[in-house]
Amino acid sequence: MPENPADTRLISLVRSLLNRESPPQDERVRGLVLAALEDEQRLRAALEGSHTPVTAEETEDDTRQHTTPAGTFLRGIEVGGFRGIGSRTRLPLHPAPGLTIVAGRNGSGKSSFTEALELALTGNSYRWSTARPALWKENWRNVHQDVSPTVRVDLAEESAGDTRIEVAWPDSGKPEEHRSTVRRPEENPELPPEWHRALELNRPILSYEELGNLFEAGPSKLHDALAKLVGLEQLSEGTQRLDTLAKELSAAEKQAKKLRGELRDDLDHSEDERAPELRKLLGKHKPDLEAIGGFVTDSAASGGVAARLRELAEPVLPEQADIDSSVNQLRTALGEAAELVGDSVAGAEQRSALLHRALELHREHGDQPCPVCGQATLDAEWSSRARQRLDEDEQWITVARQAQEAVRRGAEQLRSRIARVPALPDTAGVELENLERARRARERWATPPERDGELAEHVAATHPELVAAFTELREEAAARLAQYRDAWSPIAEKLTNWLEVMREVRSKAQDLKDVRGAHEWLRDNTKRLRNEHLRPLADHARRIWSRLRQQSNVDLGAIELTGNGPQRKVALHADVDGAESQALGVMSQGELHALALALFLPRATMDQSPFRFVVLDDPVQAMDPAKVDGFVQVLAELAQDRQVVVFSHDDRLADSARRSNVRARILEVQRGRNSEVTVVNSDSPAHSYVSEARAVAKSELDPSVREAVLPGLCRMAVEAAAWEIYSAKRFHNGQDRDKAERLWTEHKRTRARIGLALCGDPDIDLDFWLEGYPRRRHTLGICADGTHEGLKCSAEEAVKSLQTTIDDLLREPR
Amino acid sequence: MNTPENLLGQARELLDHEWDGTEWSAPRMAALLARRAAEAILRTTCEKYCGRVDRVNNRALLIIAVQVLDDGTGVLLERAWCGLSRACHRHAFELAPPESEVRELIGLVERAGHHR
Repeated sequence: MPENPADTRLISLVRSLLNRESPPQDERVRGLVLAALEDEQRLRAALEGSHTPVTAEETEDDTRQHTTPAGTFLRGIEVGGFRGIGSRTRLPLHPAPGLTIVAGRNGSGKSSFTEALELALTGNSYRWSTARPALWKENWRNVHQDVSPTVRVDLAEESAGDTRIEVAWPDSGKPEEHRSTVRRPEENPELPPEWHRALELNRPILSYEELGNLFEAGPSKLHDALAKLVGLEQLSEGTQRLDTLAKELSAAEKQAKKLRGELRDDLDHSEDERAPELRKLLGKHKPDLEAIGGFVTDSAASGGVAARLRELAEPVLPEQADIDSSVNQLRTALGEAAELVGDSVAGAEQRSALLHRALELHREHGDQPCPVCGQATLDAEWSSRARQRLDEDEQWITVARQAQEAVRRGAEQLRSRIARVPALPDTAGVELENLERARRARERWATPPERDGELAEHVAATHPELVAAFTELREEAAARLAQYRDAWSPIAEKLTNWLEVMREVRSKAQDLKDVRGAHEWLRDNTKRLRNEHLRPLADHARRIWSRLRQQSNVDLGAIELTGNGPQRKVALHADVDGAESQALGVMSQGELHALALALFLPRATMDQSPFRFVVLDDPVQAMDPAKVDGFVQVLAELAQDRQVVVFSHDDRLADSARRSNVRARILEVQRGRNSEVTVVNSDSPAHSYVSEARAVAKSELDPSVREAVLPGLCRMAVEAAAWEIYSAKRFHNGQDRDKAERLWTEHKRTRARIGLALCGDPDIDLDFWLEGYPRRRHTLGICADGTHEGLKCSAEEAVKSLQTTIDDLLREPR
Repeated sequence: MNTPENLLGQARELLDHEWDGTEWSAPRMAALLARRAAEAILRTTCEKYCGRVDRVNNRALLIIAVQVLDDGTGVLLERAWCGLSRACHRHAFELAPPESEVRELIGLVERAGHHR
C-alpha cells in the first residue's frame, strides 16, 4: 500500500467510484486501476496475477485510520547569533492545540524565529530561495553578538517523544553550509520520511512574502501545488503508468500492423501463384494464423506448382534391392516349375480322379475288364499297382502345385511393385526436361507381359531405365523446387516474423484490452476524481473565506483544478453581487492575501499531515483591519485541534484575541541593545503595565527616575484598560474597526480615552465616574499632571491607586 | 535634580544597563524619561522667546517652537516628542517603538538640548 496518506485517500476515493460504476467495471480492470495508483511494479504484478489490489470499499474508520498520522507539536524555538537575534533566545511554545500570538515590531527578531524553524525543518528558507538571496546571505549572521549561529527546534511527537533539531555553522561558513543534528526517541538520527513529504505538501510555515507570491507565481504553479497536495500527482502518475503499459503491450500490435503492410506490398509485387491467396487471408479482420502458417513452407499450396514439383521430387521408386529380390524369387520359382514339366498338373489331376473311380468300381464290383481299354483286367494286382501310381501322382501334383503357387506369388509381387510406381502427375505449368523420358520409361515399366514367365525379364529389362529417368526427373524437380522456394523465402521470412508477433498479440490481447480499459477509465475520471478529492480542502477554504471576507462583495464559489499541460490552472469561481466571475480577476490585493490564507490553512491542517502546528509569519500585514477579527475566529477554530502560532508586526491580532472569547497565549518579542531579544507575556497589557509600575516602584532605581517614569506607566496602564473596554464595546456592536482606531488615535488625552471607554464619547464629563471611587481621581491625576511634572505621591501609593483603578475599569461591562 | 541632561543620562543608562528584562521594558522607561527631558528643553527654550509658558500645553509649545526656533531645535523637538509619545501612550494597534528607535529619539533630544 502507498505510504502517503494522501495517496491512500485517493485510492479509497477511486475504489469508491469504481464500485459505483454502472455497469460495473470488470474486476481485473478495477484491480489494474488501483495497482496503477500504487507503483509500476505492483501494476505489472497485477497484470501477471501475482498482486491483487483490494477493490472492495473500506469503511470510513479504516480510511481515517490510514489518513491520520501521529501528531507533532512545537515545544520551542531557540535561536542565537542568527539574523536579528543576538544572544541565544528561546521562544517557548506549548506543545498542544491552542492559539499563540507573537507580536513584535518589524525588526524585533520575530521573523528570525520562523526562518530558524523553516531552516531546521527543511534545510532551506523561503527567503534564501527567492527574493534577494545575495543580500540575505550577506547578513544572515547577527552582527551584534560574537556568538556562533545556532538554531534549536524542539518538537513533541504523540506516542513517540521529543525530537530536537539543532542547526550549526562552521565559524566562517556560508549560510548553506549548515549542519543539522537530529535527536529523536530511540536515538534515531533521521527525521521520519513522512515529515519531508508533509513539509513540501502541507507546508506548515507560511510567511507574508510567500502568501503574496501564491498567486504571483502563475496559475499552473498554484495548480501543481494543490494537485500535489491532494495526491493528484499519484493520479497522473497512475494514468501515465497505464498508458506506458498499454503502449508497451500494443507495440507488438503496431509491429504486426507494420509487418502486415509490408507483406501486402510484397505480395502485390510477387508473381508467385501463392501471393493472391495469402494476400486475401492477410486482408481478413481476424486472420487465420494456422492457414497463413502454411505459406511459410509450401505446404499450403497443395494444388500449385510447388506441390507438383514437390511430388516429382519425392522418391517414388521401389528400392533396387526389393526389385532384385522379387525378380530372383520369380526366376527361382519359374525354374523349379520348369523341372516338373512333362505332364500338366490338370492332366495328372484328371488321371488321379479316373484312377480313384476305377478303384472304387473294382472295390464295389470286383474284378472285371478295364472299361477304358477293354483288354486289361481290373483285378487285385491292378488295384495294388493302381494305388501305388495314385500315391505317386498325388505327391507330384502337390509339388507341382507348390511350384505353380511360388511362380504366381513371385509374379504377383513383381506386378505389385510395378503398379506401385504411380503415373506421373499432371504437370501443367511445370516444364521439366526429363519429364517425357521418365513418362516413357514408366509407361514401359507399367506395361508388363501377361505371362508370368516373361515378367522377371521385363522388370529386369525396364527397371534400370526407369530408375535412371526418374532419378534425373527427381533431381530436376528438386532443383526447380529449391529455386521456387528461394523466390518465396523473403516473403516466408517476413511471414514467419509476422506470425510470431501475431501470436504474441493474440496471447496479450486480453491484457491489452484490460489495460486500455483501466487507462480509459482513469483518464476519463480524472477531472471528476481531482475535484472530488479537492472538495474537502475547497470547502474548508470557502468556510475560511466566508469568515475573512467581511465587507467584501466577492463570495467564493467552487474551487476546481482545470485544464491540462500549460493550460492547467485553479479555477476559483466567485460570485460578485450575484454575477459569476473568476475570483482572481475581481479581488483586491488585500482580498487576494486573504484568499491565499484561505487556501493555505486547509492545506497545512489536513489530517494527512503529521504536523499539528501551523506557523504564520505576519499574515495580517496586508490585511484589511476589518478582516482581523474574522481571522482571529478562523485561527481560534483551527486552534481547537491544531497548535497555531501567529507572528504579527502590530497588536491588532493580539488585541482582537484579548477582546473576544478566544483563548490565546499572547507573547511579545522585543529587541533590545545589541540584538538582545526578549519574549514577554502580553496577555493583558493593562496588567502588564501595572506589574511594570510595581517593579519600578520596588526597584533600586534612582528615586528621580522612579518619579519620572511611574506616572507614564500609570497612564499607559489606564489607557490600555480603556482601550480594552472601548474596543470590546465597539467591535462587539459590529462597529467599524477603522473608525474605532481612528477615533482613539485622534483623542490622545487619558480623560478622553476613558470617556470613549465608558460612554463612547471622548468629550463627556467624567465627574460621574471620578466621583464613584476616590482613587479614580487620584490615579487620573497621576496620569495627567505626573507624566509631565513628576510624581507627587509615593511610588507605593501610586501603584496601589493604579491597581485599584485598573481592576475597577476592567470590570466595566462590555 | 531632574535636568534634561540628567533625564537623558538616566534614559541612556537604562538602555545600556543589563537589567533583568522581564521586569520592565527599558525602552519604554527610557522613552518616558527622554520625553520628560524633551518637554523640559521645549519649555526652557520657548520661555526664552515667549516669556512664561506655564499654562501652555506641550502640543501648543511644539507648534510655537517649530515656527519660532529657526535653528532647527523646534523641528528636532517636535520629531523627538512625537516619536517618544508613541512609546508613552497606548496605541490602538501599534506596538511600542523598539530600543533602537528610542535610542535614536534620545539622540534627537540631546541635539535639541545642545542647540539651546
